[in-house]
Amino acid sequence: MPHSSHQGQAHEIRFHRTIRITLMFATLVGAYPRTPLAGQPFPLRAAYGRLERGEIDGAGFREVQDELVRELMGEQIDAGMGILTDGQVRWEDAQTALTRGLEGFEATGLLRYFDTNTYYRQPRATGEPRWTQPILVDDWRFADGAARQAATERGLQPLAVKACLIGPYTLARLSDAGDLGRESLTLALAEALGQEVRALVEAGAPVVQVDENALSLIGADDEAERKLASEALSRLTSALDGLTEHHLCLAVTMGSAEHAGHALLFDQPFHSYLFDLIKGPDNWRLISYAPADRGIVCGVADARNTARDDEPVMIWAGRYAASLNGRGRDRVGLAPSTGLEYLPRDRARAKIQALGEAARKAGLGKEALGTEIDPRAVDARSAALGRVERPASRAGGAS
Amino acid sequence: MTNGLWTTSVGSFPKPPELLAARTEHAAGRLSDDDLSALERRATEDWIRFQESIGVDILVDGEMYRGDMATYFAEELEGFAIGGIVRAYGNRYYRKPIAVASVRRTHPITVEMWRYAQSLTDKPVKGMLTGPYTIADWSFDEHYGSRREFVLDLAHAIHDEAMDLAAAGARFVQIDEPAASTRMEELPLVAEAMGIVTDGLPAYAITHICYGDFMRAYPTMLDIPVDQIDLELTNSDFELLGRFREIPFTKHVGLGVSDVHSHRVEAVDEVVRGIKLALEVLPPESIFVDPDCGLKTRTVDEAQAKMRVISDAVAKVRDELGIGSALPDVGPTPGRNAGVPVAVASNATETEPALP
Repeated sequence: MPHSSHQGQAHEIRFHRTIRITLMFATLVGAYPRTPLAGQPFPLRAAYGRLERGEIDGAGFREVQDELVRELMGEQIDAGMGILTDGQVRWEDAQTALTRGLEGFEATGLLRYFDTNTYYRQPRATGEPRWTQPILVDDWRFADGAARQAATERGLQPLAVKACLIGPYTLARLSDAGDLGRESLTLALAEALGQEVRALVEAGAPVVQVDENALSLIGADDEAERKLASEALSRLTSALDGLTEHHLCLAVTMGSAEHAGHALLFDQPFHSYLFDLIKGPDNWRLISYAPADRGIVCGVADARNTARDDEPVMIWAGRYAASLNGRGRDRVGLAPSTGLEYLPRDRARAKIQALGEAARKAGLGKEALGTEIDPRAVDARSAALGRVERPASRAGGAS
Repeated sequence: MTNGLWTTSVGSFPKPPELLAARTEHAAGRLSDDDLSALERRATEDWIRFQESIGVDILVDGEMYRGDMATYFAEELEGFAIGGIVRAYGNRYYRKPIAVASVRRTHPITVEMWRYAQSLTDKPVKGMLTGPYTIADWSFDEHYGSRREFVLDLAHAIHDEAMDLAAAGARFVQIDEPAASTRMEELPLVAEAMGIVTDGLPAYAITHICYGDFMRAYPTMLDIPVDQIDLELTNSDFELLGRFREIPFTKHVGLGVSDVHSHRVEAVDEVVRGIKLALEVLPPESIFVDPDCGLKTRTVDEAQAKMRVISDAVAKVRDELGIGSALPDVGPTPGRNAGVPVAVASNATETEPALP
């Protein structure tokens, strides 16, 4: 293994030091709506138009983005999120956010992103991609400062801000590899993005999340794809050789990574894993293979639909992941199933408020939890046998 | 003389600035429905006159009265609530509908505007609908819990609208399904729903599909029971045409020859190249030439320039190859239910084209 800081006390200390919540926590996958709450003005859209018309420059546009990031930090903290992101509101899309900073790419036609109704400009490799300077570090630094400010204003301790970036396998798979060929592009991207991950860690990002949604595209018979993805992730993580103070998370949303296989995922030195359990419920099978010293973030709030999520289900998911292999509640988080950018802002806010509350309750002891939700959801077996003892505070409540 | 290479447009044109401003005023309650409608009709007439002036064969009304193509129908159907805005790409946003009860059509939605647009010209104007799969896919669902039930309820609603358009005199009815190539495993559902929409439809039925994984969706997309599939092809540099050599295209094709997401106006010879690539694998009488998608994201000047180039390119190819422009008396074609060629379905690769 290139490094092993995910194992043992060092990891635990680091992990606990960088997130304030000691048991369950809630976090975004990454993206959050850049749209306003209902009835509010939409300065970002107006600024975009003014930028296109030359009425403001890039710095003026960035100021509007900065204000939105500050606003979203407060919104996440108020919702009870334990690890924050900048909502990726500066990104055109996850691919372009990286390829525009790398050498060796040009943008081409619009393509649909997985099975969503959102689109991205497909990057095309014009040569071997090369990392020349940090791409996301300044944005992460700004978000970290904004989060500190928002926490201070609320009389809270600072919360960790997660840096997110697309992984090499997914970026290559969603790109036009051109003459380079996809295998060469994937491996070159692994080296390049590894440098970016290292830059983020060296800048102080306490959690760096690598998004590899294309692992869900690997089929049962795609041994060559498994091998390529594995090699890419090995090269990416080896960029952190020699660094010990970091936390690396691998996220797979938009489907099930079951066919990618547990060996591909868990042989890699990631400290934690985020899985979409709505679009890819089979990811539960993968989680059952995860070593106990790896964190699990359960993507249990449906990020693709406005319907309210069932709180006991979210709580159960977190506690189940905690119970598997004796992982414990201090290594488990709750999240939306993917980025929340697909929802209107009001619904996204309701989702993270529900997630924050579910995470809080999931971190409670059994008796305390039984006072806050229907006790049958806490102890189904007892309920089934008609032996549940209702806490006094709920006596006469649930039937 | 062989006739073919008819020009048309996918559906939307950009709204003129005064209409955009009026829509904002209307949304804020400062402009009446009647005043907005008058501006929509004026803009519609302008686009009809423009299309006639450059010799387009099959016209569209330009959708001056619509915002988003799915939300517009959801607003008119029973069972939907309209949610907040979400982003599609770049700085483009739309209000995404939410199914909160069983979906039902209670009144004609597009017929009056189609009648108005058709009254302005002797050339055929397409009836323009959004398909059931796309409306469902681009909505949130808080009611059904089953995508199939949601889609099929919508299919019955859109069928009723299509039949009313045909009864009003529409010879061409386009049922847009841009989401059709999103999930390969649901293409049979797309086809099943379209079967309901076009069941007994006495008009030439078109569906438009765009920005998906065509290479994977082909040839299964041929099972969608329509007479013509309109495809965005410029965006992928006509890659799909190569597949038509291996597996014959069994329907008429709408050939997208202009990139609607680029400010750049193509040169005539670029469009000529695209048309000639198509003619290598399809006969002219099965080809309808248009932009990749709706042009509403361009400026009025850009959209008009792109349409002029298409018109000029078609004229050039027609002149060169001696192809006429007379429009046949269209209606349902044998290709509507032709589907994937049987020989291909049995893994044969050498198959004679089964063009309608």
